[in-house]
Amino acid sequence: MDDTEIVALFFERDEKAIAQCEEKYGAFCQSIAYNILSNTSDAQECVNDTYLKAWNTIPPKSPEKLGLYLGKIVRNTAINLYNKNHRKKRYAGMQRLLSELEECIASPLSTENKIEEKELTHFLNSWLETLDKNDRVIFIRRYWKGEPLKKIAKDCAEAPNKTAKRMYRLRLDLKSALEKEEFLL
Amino acid sequence: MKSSQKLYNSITEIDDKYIEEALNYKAVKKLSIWYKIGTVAACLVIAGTAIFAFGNTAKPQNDISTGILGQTTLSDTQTASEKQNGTEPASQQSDLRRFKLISSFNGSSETACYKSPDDGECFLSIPLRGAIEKYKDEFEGESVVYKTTLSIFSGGESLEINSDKVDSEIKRLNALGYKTEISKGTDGSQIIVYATYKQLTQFEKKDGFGYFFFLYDEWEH
Repeated sequence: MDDTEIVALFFERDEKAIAQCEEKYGAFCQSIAYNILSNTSDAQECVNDTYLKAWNTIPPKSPEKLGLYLGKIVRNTAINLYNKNHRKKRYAGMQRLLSELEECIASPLSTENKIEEKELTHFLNSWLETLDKNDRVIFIRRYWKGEPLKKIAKDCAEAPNKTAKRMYRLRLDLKSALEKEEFLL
Repeated sequence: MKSSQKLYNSITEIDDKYIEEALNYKAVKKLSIWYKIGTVAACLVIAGTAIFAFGNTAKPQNDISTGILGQTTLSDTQTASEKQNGTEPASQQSDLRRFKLISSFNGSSETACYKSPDDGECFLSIPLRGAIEKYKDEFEGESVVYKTTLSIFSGGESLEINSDKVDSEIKRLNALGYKTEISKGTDGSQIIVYATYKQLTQFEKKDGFGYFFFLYDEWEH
């Protein structure tokens, strides 16, 4: 069933929409949540919450790309669960990703602009546009989808240490771009 | 909130086009001249062996290209053909009860590097070709069913399994008599196709698509 038909089921308030989402995007959503939480049952909880949020937001929303819509919801849901539970539980996936991203943070040397998340997203879009396709792909697969470095390296047909070096250079490049704009996170 | 988490959160809403690009990305490994020379040499050795083995009685097998650009050696083929692995009890698949089901083969694919098929091309992986060569006579050809995974391409790019194009191709294959299923894993879904020797070697390609068949157990499961 294509996305338009599934969205139509949501609009008709037909619960088959959830089953179709599970069939088509269940594994995709589960992998995003699992990469953040490293816990199968918590990841499944996020996926279930995602379907509920989709049910509550479609309509009025009518996403053209349902997979990406669900992907963003599940990512946010997993981040929220991380924030709620991280003092009680150790979520290795997101902790690892955050520690990597620490390298992108400039030290606050002056009173630069305190940037908001929305603005930061806009900045990231411009920064991503400056990258070549391969670099953009590995950055997004690592920090949007949270995929393991080894898998990214395999899919990009290169050695994991080479991918790791490219990733490191990208983080430094992002840091330098943030500093250039005098953005303070 | 930690700065790194703010950065991490803001990545969620980046432009859809970049996310789609990343999720649909399939790298094509650039090969050095030595790989190409090695491939040609390996092909010549295999061709020589085939001529030696089958002589003039060898008939043309099919119109399917191999698509192998990577390193393969005669010893891979010889070792593979000597091993009896990869067969599953036919009773595991009720619809395929009469058949011997082949899902793996000990032809090493680790050193192989595959080129993405262009539109109108259909490639079979090294282990799959090894299995076909091994079992097509042993079990009288058509009594063998190969459990494969299929990647579908268009314009040299791998198509997402959930896409409408792939969906329509799966429906077309089902109509042609191929038994297919979608297997879901944490790393994503894959298309599983049960096919006979004839269905693989005389695969009916559709304009605008490229196809790559692998044996099911070539990859980690």
